[in-house]
Amino acid sequence: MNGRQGFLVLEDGAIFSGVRIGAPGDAAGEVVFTTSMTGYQEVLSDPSYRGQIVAMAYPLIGNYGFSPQAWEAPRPHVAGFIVREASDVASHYLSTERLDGFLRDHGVSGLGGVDTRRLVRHLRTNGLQRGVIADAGGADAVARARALPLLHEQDLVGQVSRHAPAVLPGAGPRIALIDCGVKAGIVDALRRRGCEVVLFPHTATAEQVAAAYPAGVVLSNGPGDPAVLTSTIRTVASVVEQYPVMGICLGHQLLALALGGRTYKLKFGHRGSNQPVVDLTTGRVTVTTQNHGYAVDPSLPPAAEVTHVNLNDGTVEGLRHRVRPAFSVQFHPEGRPGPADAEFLYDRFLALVVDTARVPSAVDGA
Amino acid sequence: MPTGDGIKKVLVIGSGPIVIGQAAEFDYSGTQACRALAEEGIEVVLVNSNPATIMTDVEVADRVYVEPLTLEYLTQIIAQERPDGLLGTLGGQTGLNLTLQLSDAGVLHRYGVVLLGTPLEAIQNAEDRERFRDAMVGMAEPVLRSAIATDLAAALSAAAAIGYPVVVRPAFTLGGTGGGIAPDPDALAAIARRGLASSPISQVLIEQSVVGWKEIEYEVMRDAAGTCITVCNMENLDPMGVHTGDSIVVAPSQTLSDADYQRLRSAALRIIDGLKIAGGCNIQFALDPRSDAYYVIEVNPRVSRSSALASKATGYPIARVATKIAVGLRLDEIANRVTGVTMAAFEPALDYVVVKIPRWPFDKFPAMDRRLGTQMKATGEVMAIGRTFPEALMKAVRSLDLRPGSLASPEAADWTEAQLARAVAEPSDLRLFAIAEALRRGWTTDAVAGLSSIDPYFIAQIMRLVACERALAAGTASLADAKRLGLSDAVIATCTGQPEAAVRAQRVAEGLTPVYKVVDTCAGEFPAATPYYYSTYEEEDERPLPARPRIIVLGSGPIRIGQGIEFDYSTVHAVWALREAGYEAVIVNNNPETVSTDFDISDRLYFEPLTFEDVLHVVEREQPEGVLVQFGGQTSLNLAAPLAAAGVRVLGTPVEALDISEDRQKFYDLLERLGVRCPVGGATMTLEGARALLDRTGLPVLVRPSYVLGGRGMEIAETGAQALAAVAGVLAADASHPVLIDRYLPGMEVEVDAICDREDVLIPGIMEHVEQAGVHSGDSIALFPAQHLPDAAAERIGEIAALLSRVLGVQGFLNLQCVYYEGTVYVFEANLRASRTVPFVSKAVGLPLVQIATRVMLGDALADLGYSGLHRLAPPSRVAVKAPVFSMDKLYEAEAALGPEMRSTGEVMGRDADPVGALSRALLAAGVVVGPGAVFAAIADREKGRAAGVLGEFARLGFPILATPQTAAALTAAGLSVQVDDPMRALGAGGVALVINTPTVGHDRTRAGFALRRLALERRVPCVTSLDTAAAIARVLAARREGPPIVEPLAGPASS
Ligand SMILES: Nc1ncnc2c1ncn2[C@@H]1O[C@H](COP(=O)(O)OP(=O)(O)O)[C@@H](O)[C@H]1O
Ligand SMILES: Nc1ncnc2c1ncn2[C@@H]1O[C@H](COP(=O)(O)OP(=O)(O)O)[C@@H](O)[C@H]1O
Ligand SMILES: [Mg+2]
Ligand SMILES: [Mg+2]
Repeated sequence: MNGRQGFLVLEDGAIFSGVRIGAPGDAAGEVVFTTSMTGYQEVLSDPSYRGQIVAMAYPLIGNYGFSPQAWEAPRPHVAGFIVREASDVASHYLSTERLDGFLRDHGVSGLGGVDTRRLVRHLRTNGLQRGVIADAGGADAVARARALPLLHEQDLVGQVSRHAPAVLPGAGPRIALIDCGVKAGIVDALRRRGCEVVLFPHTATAEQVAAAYPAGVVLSNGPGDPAVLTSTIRTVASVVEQYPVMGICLGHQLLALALGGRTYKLKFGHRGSNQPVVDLTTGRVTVTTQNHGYAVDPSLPPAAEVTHVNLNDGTVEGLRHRVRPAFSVQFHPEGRPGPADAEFLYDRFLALVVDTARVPSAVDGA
Repeated sequence: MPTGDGIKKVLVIGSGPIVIGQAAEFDYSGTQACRALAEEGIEVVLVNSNPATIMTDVEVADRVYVEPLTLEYLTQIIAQERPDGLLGTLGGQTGLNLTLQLSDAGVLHRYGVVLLGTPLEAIQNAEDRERFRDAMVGMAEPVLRSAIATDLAAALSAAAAIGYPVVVRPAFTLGGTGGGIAPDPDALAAIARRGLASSPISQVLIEQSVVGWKEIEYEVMRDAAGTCITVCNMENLDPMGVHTGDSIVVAPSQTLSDADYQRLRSAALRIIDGLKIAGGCNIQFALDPRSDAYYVIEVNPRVSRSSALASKATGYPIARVATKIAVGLRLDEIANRVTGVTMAAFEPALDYVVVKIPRWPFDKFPAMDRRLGTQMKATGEVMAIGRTFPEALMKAVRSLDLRPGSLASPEAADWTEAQLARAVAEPSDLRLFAIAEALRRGWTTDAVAGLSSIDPYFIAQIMRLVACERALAAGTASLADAKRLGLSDAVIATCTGQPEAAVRAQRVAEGLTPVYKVVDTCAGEFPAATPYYYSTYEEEDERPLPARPRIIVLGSGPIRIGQGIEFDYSTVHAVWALREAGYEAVIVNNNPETVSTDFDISDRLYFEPLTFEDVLHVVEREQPEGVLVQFGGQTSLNLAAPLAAAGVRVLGTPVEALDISEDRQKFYDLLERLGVRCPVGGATMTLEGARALLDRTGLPVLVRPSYVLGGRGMEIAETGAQALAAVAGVLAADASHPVLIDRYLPGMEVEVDAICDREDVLIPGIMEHVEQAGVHSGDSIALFPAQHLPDAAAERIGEIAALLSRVLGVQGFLNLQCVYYEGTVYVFEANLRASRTVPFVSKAVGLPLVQIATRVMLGDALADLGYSGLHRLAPPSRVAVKAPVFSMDKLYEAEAALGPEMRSTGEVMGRDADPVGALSRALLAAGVVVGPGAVFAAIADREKGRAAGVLGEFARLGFPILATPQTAAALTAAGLSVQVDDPMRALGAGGVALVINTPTVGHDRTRAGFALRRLALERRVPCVTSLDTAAAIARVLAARREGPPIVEPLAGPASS
């Protein structure tokens, strides 16, 4: 309505008009969409969106404001934010801020009033692409979009991981968490179960992890192409032989790569809170939260097997090591945003941790 | 529960007549269920007493029984059909209660019928308030402090312990019947007494009140493998305290954070899993707006009004999926028909917002209390889809089909500040408009939110609309802003002081036209195979590939008294006929409860308001061969003229003819010219004119406003003074249209639904009303074919139909309503559209009349279809009787007496070889059951003579007769043995089996009579207000037979 006009320009030349919201500067990155209807604050602060401009498919955003409780990381990570309607009211007893102010305060540029359904359909049909949010939608904006680095050309995990390890106390088993840009939800899920969580940078070596004497290792979510994380893959390959391992999202892809599998880029990824996943062992379907652009190739090395697939497109959603106590899932068992129906996977992991501790020879055998 | 294998034949129970709280949504669900079963190769046996449904079509089920929904009849049908399985969760509360009865009576066991879907125990754990509470406590789900009471004393002591206010919630009822919020013991005594009487197990829950909390619903599915999903959640704009059926509802929730959303979602999944439901259920929560506390309010272990809404809101066909689950399929084995590529085991993602607004019958019952509470009063609802909340809200308001179609309500503008404050604080049908008015007067959003307990988010959205109206008036808003916010051309025109056409012209010049987007269950993530559209003002239109020539059918909008499910039946049949004729059928409608808005029915569904602007946009996009306006009742018919004026081709009867039939003056002039007798009468706009007219007509007269449906504001006046008072009343309500005064003819009312093609006429038969003219045709009992009409009169009616058809150029339906009085046929109304009785007659004769009419409208000649000349169908082998059903138990203050204004919400049909047998079935199906006891009579002076005869019949049948003093005197004088009694005492004491109370004609309703009728209703004693009805009951009682009833399914389409 009123406000400064702005545009989203994609590398294929498609232009979407809207009104500028949030920080005044331009934004640039890979343009993705999520179909989650709630949880925009969790989306904004999910480090896995690093380097990406996120479009919300659900049109009404900002209605219940922003609260200190809904952070997945201490600050937003998206490169830009696109909505159909940015609410100028924030109605919730926990809310401390409104959408526009929030984006502005955190330096996130955005676009409101966009025909986001057109954008979603465009990306679905033509695949994800790079784009810029700018005040003018001319040819130079297209050129700028085309000049942006691709995901695999960037060290995105390096931007969201940590420099030094940190210890979060707990009375239960000590879990090493390889932080590739971990969501607070994963840490909370472990800590709620009593774990002592030792966070490591993604550059940590197996020796550094071992020095903490963990009872198990969790590989976190994170942004970008997993295949570029060669040192992390090496670390994973080693810890898998020593500790129970659980991989989540990027962590799942890292486990696959470490075991000798392959990953590839999906046309437009899975982002939303309604992805149905079939557990191949039980036949039961779970509705899951997902946020990923890469997937694991189903032709796994002999050491691993597929345990979960996506009911919609059959892509790999989970795998396990045939011998070692290691498994991983492509989705987020902790939700945030989205359902926590698969939270029991953390319990399953901790059961592996406990079992392994009871039979030390299994670890020593490595 | 062993399902799946071995299930070859399934009995589906429908929900019976439309009543408040149980409406067309069960036709939608039931029809979907029948089709889902057929897809699995299962033979479907259906029973439902409601003929105005698609589910009772021989096209939908293999065997259709239109019989009373009672244990006796169901038992007989089961004995005869021997189904393998029973689906009882699709017929609303009626179906559930009947299923429980069948099980309790051992019928299911005796005939080896497996209950499909949710197990009985789960149903009871959800429905029985006490077991439900225990189950929730067992699952550690929070429930409100409450106590079960089965008598008044227990209710009062429970409330004292809990603390006032308390909420009274009866068990096993629907639409909150008999419930209420009691601020003190006196109020509690009144509500609890009513509540105990309305619960079939005399059980009420006395519960701590959380009025003002958010009311949130989840629609959840679970399969036998234990996979659980939520289809969607819905937020009631009206917080706790207003029945969800009476609340404005928004989907998905707008003010819940992800944490809130997931907390309630997880609870919903735990509950459905804990209750072991197999299929769908609706779970209602109260959520504290100021903390994360919540309570489980209730679970409906079946498809419901909410599930129909959720299905339409998301595109996820809950009833279809629930049925597949019931026969043993798993969610991940059932295809998602919208995308065609995904499965039913997923949760829809929306990329639009849905607003539902209820439609209430207050326009029919001006004396009624318009305040809303825990007991539902709405007869129907509209749904609208938009990309923003204001857009969806404004579309929904337009869809209500009420003037003025905007947030400006003429009455609200005149309120004082104090009146306005009350209207904002107290939930009523006017509250939305009161809020807009308050904001218009400069009240802050916080003030309005505080007073109404409605979330400030919603108030702020209404504020945006009010601000835009203001900016338009000030010339500071652009047309684009207004359209994007959802304002119609008409509203913009009012704000800017232009004619609507000028706004439209300017808009078109600016290139401002809507685009259409698809409802696809997945927010665009997958290509959608299903053409379900809504409009919005954005960039991209999801244009369908042009295919075959197409025709648009206009639906009838929300269900209201006078325009009910019958019109949806006709709409659907028209679509079927179009598709069979090789056209693409396109529907425009906005009623989420109905079959016509199932995206599976038409080639394209546009969920849009039925206004000139909205329909024209669809026409412009579709470029159809034409538009069918004869099936959506008065709503679609009223669009014929403006559409035609805009150059749209209206198929069938020409618009000029429609105009004549709608304008009584023109119509009566025409009848006179043609030599057809009609009641003497005329139109006037003044009291002087009325006096002059009365001189011509004589007395009694019928006084009514022009251009109405369902006899709104119609009165019979016996004296000149009464007549003038009635005229004054109508003019006060609307001085811009004339008042009609006709001589009232107390004869036999007959009605015919003919199909004409300008030349030839098909007459399926003539209906005869049991009650004499003066009782609205929608409220009278009707026999088909007529039993007491002389042949000559029947001939004459045929001739008149043929004459009118030729003169008016009728191409399609002609509904003719006549009075046969003193040997003469008088015509008093013609409707050139499908009438309310079309489905009833179609089922009585076994012929799809709408499909024939549609062929004719497409240009086929009746002669080519096998009906040449003046073709009268041979009478069917069975007589059919239609009986009305009222929702008076929901409408406390409403007048229960029959009159020329329609008041019934639904109807049933009874069929039998013998007319009295058919009548008996119809009355039974309508719930008019006369048990042992006395007959109480209170008769208007005018009818005391006739009453003696009728009551004599009851006396002969062995009923003791009680009466008011004067009636008793008159009856005694006629030789009857009568005991004088006070009506209130007699009813209060029990032992009365039937009340016959004929009120004084006109509006001179004595308080005593009104109170008597209300008390009878409360005591569940049948109360008839016409001697004709009473006589019919006596005939039925006299002919009562012993032994099981003979049941016979409807015959298939007669060799067509
Ligand atoms: N404890 C309560 N406090 C406040 N309002 C209530 C309470 N319980 C129910 N209500 C209101 O009453 C309405 C109808 O109650 P409910 O028992 O759900 O009837 P029904 O079974 O017909 O759906 C609810 O939709 C809600 O708005
Ligand atoms: N002249 C009349 N004499 C007797 N009864 C009449 C007369 N006109 C109408 N009625 C009664 O009023 C009812 C409603 O009138 P009608 O004109 O059919 O209105 P609507 O448009 O609501 O159907 C009729 O069904 C009939 O019972
Ligand atoms: Mg309820
Ligand atoms: Mg009529």
